[in-house]
Amino acid sequence: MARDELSTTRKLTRRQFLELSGGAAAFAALVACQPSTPATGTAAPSTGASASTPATKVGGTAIISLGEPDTLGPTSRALVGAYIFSFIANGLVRLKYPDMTVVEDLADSFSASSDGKVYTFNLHKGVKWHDGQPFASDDVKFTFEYMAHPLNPNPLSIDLANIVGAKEFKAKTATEVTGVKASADKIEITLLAPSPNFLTSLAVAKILPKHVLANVSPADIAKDPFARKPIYTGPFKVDDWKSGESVTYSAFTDHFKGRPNLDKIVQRIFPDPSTSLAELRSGGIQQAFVTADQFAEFQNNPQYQTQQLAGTTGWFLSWDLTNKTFPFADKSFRQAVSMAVDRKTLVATVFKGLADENYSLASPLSWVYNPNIPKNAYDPVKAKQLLDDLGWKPGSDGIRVKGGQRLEYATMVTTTTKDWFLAIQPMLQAVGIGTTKVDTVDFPTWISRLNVGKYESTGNGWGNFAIDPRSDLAAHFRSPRTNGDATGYKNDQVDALFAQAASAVSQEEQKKIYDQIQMLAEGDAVYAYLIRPKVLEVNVKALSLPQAKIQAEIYDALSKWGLS
Amino acid sequence: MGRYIVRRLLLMIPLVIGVSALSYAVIVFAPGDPATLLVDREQMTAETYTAMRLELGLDDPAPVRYLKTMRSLFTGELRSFRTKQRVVDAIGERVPTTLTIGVLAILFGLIFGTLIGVVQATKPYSRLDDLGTIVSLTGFSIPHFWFALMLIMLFGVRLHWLPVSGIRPVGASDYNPIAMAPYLVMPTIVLGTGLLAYVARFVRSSMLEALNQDYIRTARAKGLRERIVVMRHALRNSLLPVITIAGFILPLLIGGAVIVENVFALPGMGRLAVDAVFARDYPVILTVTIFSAIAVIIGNLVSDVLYAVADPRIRYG
Repeated sequence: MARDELSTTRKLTRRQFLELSGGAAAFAALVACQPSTPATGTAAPSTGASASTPATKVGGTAIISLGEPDTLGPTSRALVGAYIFSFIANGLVRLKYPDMTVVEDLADSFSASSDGKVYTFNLHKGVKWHDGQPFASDDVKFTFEYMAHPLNPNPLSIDLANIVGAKEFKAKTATEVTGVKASADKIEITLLAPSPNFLTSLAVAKILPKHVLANVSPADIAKDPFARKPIYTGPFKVDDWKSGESVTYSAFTDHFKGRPNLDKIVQRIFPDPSTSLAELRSGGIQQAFVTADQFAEFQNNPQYQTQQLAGTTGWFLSWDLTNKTFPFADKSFRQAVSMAVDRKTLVATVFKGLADENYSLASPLSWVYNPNIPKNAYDPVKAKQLLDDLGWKPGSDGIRVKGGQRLEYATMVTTTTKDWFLAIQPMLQAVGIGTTKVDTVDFPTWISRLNVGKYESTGNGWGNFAIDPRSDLAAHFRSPRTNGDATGYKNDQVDALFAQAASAVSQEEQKKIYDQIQMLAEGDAVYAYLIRPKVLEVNVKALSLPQAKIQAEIYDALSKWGLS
Repeated sequence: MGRYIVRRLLLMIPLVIGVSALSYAVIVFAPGDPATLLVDREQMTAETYTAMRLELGLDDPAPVRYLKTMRSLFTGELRSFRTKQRVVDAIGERVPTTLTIGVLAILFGLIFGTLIGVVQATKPYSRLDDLGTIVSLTGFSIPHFWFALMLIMLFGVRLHWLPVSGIRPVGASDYNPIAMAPYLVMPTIVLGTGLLAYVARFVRSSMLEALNQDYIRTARAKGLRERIVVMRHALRNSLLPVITIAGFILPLLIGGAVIVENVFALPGMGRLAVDAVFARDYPVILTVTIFSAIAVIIGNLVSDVLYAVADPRIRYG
């Protein structure tokens, strides 16, 4: 059937093409008006025919679109690296998405002593590396010593430094990290002080093969062939990485949790999203993420399956709170901005309904999220009232004035944030805030200006699920800021709670403290939260993906993907 | 002539040094801090940031960094900030792609440009001439990315005649010309169209000039067939000025390659350069710039030399 459709389209289009071959405008019109006929890809030989319940089989190749990693060695620092590690490597434990709690991985079970200082991990038996060598507890100890190695250019992370003997090993006063004890099928890790974040950071640390890396200095790992063709224990192994082109993974049939369904995954690297979109339409790739503009086309096409995933990034407006010219330091000003924004309209227009309203820094899906935090929802009357109360009165053109100063400030945006910022401008204008000074910069400029506080206000965003959800909060509300987001927010009560949280061991205690932190900090309206665009997944019907809630889950469950 | 070439080659040295210093200054003084871009913002901590700046040597003064960078470039040990790959290797991986589409685009432009120019000149001010003018002016003006996307939509998505993107079939690692051919059609057309326009205009005007010469009248008077008059007597002589195009073909192609490689997802040098700019990957940007500068300088030299070779009236001393 697909073939017939193809040939009719071809005949029709060729004739039209010849008729119209004069002008470029006609050319564009032709391209735009033809109905789309997605071809069947190499791995999807019968998209149209298999409409009846497709059974997932073992085997086949899926071609997907995913960004290029910086390196596939342990020094990877890009988010896409984390996605890839979730299907090529394993930690002792792993994160369960989307609530970001910790579950078993290479360790079948794990437990903490009552004082929270000693963790015991029982390792899974019969685990193999991609090169067929057996995995052993020595590899785990080796991994910790690799990370804490004196020659490793990275400083010890807080959680690594908390392991007994790690600082001494880094300072070369000890020949091993004494706090990590490896016996036959068991690992015991002793900490200096109980740490609630310890397990989460363990989940990020992927276990390295001692037999491969024993002779590679941690200073040179990024230059070693391992960085481009690594050996781990995950369900897929890296076959080939062609720079700027593709990365090919094949099923690791000896994986300790059973082999993945697919034989091969080819990750193609597209610098321009319109190219991956065209490939998805033509059948050149079987899975990709698309923008809200394009999503409906695939939703309405029976040859594709789609999933709407929760937004990873929450967008918001933020200000340099140390600015003295404008009332940014006034909580009620920030609340007024938040109340001026009609999120429903923003979602319906700019995001075609494919976004959620946002009122918090933490993702509502994560375990730390407190649903009771104050929300400054759309209420333009109240917004005007708040600005009036601050002494900013509407001037002749509607923009508010106080002491000769117009309430008109610059907003720094990137090409991404500009899209929605322009939709917000008239909403702010309606309550008397002038935001026509828009400073569009590229991302590198944006982030360096943000870090040094060289801006008045900005369209800002934060991706959840990249780190421990507690760190999301600490990165924005604890002072001094550690990630360089120079808002200048400081609340002593909040800081005291963060200090208190650092020594609370049980998750219940932690939850209580982080609930309080959110009540205080979100109550201060540090940011005017806007929306969380949904992450929009599209795949051809023949490829079946497990239902997911967030993007990271899609890659985490890659071994369950299958072709019918 | 030999001395002339040697002198021009020697002049390259200060020129390349100048280009490298200038471009390094432009890169370094552009806003943006490479250390902030290597780690995702969400995972950045103060300690990591300090360690990154140290690792990349960003705390040295700019002239010192420039000298260090140039030194490691000459020893071949200069590495990308982001991937830690040797920059020479990174470029080496990308050169075949850019070279392939570059050469094909030049051939496409020269062949079809000459053809259009000749047809136009033999029937000046006719409908056919006007059509040729429209085609070449469109070729000049059409934005590469738009043209590329339109071709993709038509031949890749609607008609399925050609693969949408990439340089070779998924899974292939070699450069097999037969397997690669369908992938190269659209990039060649997009990259070659601008060139085609230049060539067509040049050929048309110099052909018109040549067709009015006395020797053409003589050739016709001898009773030669019109085809031989046009192809052998007029075209040969009028191709001379086309050689001067060789000088600006390269800058044109390098600029176009950046766009074409991005839209068609080709793993070439233009892609490398764009990715490096957005990551503020100074070593890669600098090396690609120097590499392109050398290519352009040599292109100019070749064009000058060819001109002297082709036209005995021109002498360089």
